[in-house]
Amino acid sequence: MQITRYQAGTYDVAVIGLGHAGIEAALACARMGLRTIAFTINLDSVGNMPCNPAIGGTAKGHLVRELDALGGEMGKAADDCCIEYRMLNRGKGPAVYSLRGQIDRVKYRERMKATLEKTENLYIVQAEVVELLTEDQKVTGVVTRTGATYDVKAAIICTGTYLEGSVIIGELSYESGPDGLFPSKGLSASLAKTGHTLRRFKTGTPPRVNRSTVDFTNLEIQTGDEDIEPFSFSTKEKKENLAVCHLTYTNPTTHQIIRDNLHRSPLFSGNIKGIGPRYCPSIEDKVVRFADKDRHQLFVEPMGLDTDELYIQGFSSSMPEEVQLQMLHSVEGMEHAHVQRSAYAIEYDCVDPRELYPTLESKLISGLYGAGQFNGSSGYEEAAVQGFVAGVNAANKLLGREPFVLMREDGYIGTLIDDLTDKGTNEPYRMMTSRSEYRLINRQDNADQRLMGIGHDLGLVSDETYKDMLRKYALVEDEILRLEKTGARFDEEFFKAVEEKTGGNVHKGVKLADLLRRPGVTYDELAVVDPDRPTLPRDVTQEVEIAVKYEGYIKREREKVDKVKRLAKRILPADLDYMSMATLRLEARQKLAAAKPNTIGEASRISGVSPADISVLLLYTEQGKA
Amino acid sequence: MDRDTICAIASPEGRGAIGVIRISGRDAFACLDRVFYAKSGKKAAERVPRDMVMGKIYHGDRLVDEGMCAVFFAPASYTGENSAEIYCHGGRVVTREILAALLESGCRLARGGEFTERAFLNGKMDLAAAEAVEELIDAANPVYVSTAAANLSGRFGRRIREIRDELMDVAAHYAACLDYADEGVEPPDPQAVEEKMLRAERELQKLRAGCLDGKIVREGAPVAIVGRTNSGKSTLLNYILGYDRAIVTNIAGTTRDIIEESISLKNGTLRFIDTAGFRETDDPVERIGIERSRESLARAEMVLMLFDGSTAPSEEDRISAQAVENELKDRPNLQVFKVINKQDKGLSFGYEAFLPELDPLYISAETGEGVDTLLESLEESLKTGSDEADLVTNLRHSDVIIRASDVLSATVADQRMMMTDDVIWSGVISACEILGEITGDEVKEDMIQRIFAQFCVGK
Repeated sequence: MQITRYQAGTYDVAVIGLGHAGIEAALACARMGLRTIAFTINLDSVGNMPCNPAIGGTAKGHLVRELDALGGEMGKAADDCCIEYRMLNRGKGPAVYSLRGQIDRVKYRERMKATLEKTENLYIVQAEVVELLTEDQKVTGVVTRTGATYDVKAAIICTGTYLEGSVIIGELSYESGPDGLFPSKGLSASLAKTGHTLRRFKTGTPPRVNRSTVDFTNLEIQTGDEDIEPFSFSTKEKKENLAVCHLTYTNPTTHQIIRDNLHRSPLFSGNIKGIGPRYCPSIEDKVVRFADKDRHQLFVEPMGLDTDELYIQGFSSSMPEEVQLQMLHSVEGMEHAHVQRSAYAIEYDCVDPRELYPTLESKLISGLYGAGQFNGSSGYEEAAVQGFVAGVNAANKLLGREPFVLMREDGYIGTLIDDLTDKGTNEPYRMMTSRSEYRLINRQDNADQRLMGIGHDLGLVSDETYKDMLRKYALVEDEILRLEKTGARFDEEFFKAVEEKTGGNVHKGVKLADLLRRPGVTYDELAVVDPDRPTLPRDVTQEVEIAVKYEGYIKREREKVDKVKRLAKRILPADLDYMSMATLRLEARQKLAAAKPNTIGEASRISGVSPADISVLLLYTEQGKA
Repeated sequence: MDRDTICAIASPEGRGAIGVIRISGRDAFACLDRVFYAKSGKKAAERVPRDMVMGKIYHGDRLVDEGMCAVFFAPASYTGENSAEIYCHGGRVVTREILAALLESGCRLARGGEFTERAFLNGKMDLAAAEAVEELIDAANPVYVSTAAANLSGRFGRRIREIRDELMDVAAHYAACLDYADEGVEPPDPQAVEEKMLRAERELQKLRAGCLDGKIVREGAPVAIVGRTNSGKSTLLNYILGYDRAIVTNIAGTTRDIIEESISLKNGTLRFIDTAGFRETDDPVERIGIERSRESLARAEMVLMLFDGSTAPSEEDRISAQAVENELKDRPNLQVFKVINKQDKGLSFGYEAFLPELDPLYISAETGEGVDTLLESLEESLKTGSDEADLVTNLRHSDVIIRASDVLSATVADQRMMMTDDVIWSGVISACEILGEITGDEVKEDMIQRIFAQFCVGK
């Protein structure tokens, strides 16, 4: 049926979707002064968490902190709605600490909706965008299902898992978005017309149960941190833990039920075509691949303070409902659990991120941007940071400013976007600390020092917050200097204890910093021999401790960064005869000869050219001037 | 990079009017000053670089020769380090004595090709130049550069890959624990991790020694004579050294004060290592412990495994033979000769069970019977080297191995200091990245794949 279209308004930017990516994109654009219109299929679901009701986690915590330092919203909202905080990997070193928080899911949505509504320059609409209008490879407008046509100069696609969404439960599949919401129909075809390559990914989610039907007797409790560190650098008030999680396990009976019903699993029967993430396997996946494990861990997480719903992490499944129930009821504590929402898998369309620039702008259509699961990532945090970057770039472009690109060495955001846009991905991409090369420099605790200056320059971080950060690190510097210069007060017991712990001798004139460098010695413990120390806030002393203890390693990593940068810049003469380089692999020679890279950095990005090839290439050009 | 001080006779073996001895390294000038005394009285560091000055050459307090010397200040030298060259009268006696003096003054004998290796590693020459060096030195043997930089199918590449694989598993284990905290993955055992790193380091060092097994400027092939007490080691050695084709001199060895004696043959020099101790008497069982034999074995390129054909095999034979077999397994390029001695007494025992894959040579060290043939075999082996000895690739490999070993030993130190997991993990990854410059593998995707293949993580 032909819908009459009507002119609905002129705006600078349209943001399509108000999930975690869309929210950051819309807020960034609006806050930078652009007239922004943002669309969502359901206004009560902005900032929804269709999967884990949690924010952060390993490497994801880093993303939240970096986003917060740049002026994004997620960290602050997370603090407003967090019901349990846990810093993961405590004791494993500051490079891998990651903050994770259980979030009150409903409160988060309400909090975000309120923020969006109150933001100047931002207009939100409950409507489904079905068409992208372009002319001469440029974005000109968007059209909704009701025929409303908006003239815009830029559009940011943040469609999450809605694009041609299809929910799969066992043998059943039907068109749907996540969490019982409508899918997006039509926009995908419109995007495909622009020439972009769309693929089909899948993800899954576990069942939700009612806590009054769960038997907690034998379930282990997992409490939050006593010493809470909030997500946002601007959160000053003391936070509290208001909920706990529990642990349970599957058992051989569960596994047998799964095996007996594998033929009904769409994954194993071939019904699911989309590619799922390795690191978000369904419980069926796990049982099949790790057949010798007789139990798998499950986390039972509260979804909020005002709801009795619990999320069963680790029990993702696309088995038929009746099988799901059998499986669940075989788990300790869940024998009589009432399932309020079944587990399901969802397939959706997404773009090949290699078709985007590192600014997340499309290489094919000027003014078109992509962010979040639309780009092939998975996770709320991954989506949020991309939304922010896309939003800032859309704004910068329209304001005639330089593109906003973070490099790998700038942190996890830079690494994420580089991985996606340069290497692409074959499955929904999740951030992991394993993906970053510079974990000791790019920690979650120093994200403010690393990135807040940029956020402030963008105008997205207030003067006050920025000044607080500068003050914090001035105190850190001063304290480090004081520790380097000041001798420890002689305390026989303390000195002996340190000697015993670390094996080295402690001489009388030892400086406080040298004592702090010893393994096992903490800043707090040092108070015994440091009676005149100033009273400093916790976040300052934490930075001091890390800076002193890890000085050597951080320095080494910085040197590595510098070396990589220098080498990357090394110019390759245009007339280099690659084919004559006898010690270079033939494939590499051919690729280099075809691509004719200008620098070593460019050469290293050519697919088919490995690190070994680069090291040989370095020898053929000027050797070892690094 | 600050490297130790090496020295070597740069002029070829045999007669010649001039002998040249080279020194290079961090203490080059200090060592030189203990041996060469310039007429001007100036010390090495005070002289004009590249100027040849006259002076006297001493070994301890004995005047050995009068000659000339030139010093080179880093980086303007062949190796890029502080270096010097001493020009003396040609002939083995003089050159070797000067070498001995230098070794006593704090230098170490350079390995074959080590000066060129340093030149390369210090960026003094690039690929093309390094190739040219080999061509010049070994004009009879056309330089043969392999194209296997990344896809090494040879034993060397396989070994590096194996070492890297084990380290990658460690890295993946850490990654699984750290990226999936809370999912019940058993953390790596620090003791086990340390052992793996130390083992990798040892393996790498062995491979590196094989790397430099080139045909460049040979300083003599180290030969170890292994055998139980009374098998006739010293008799054999005495016989060889008294052999009239050979010319013998003593060279003071390394810091361990090991006397090394050598003979020069047509194709090169045989350096008998660790002959101290059993040179004095025929029965030095207390001094030649199995440990010392093992040490010589590790340094040797040729091994004479000596058995007493007139007496039954003993436990000591079995232990020595086992040590040689083990060494052979680690270094298949090792040349081993199975020699059955005391032919004059009648050969009652064939020692077939020991080193069964080798054809035995029968000799009598006492009468000299068969020693001719033995020496000819040794000389033959001097001719063969690894034909794939690709100087350039080898130097690059050597550099990679040095860097990876450095990272591993630093990481082991970190772990002993109880540094946190994030630092240890970074160190292991770093080592794998460096080794990847040989194998061509990238670390990250490899590590992530291993995580999911080996650990049940993720929700």
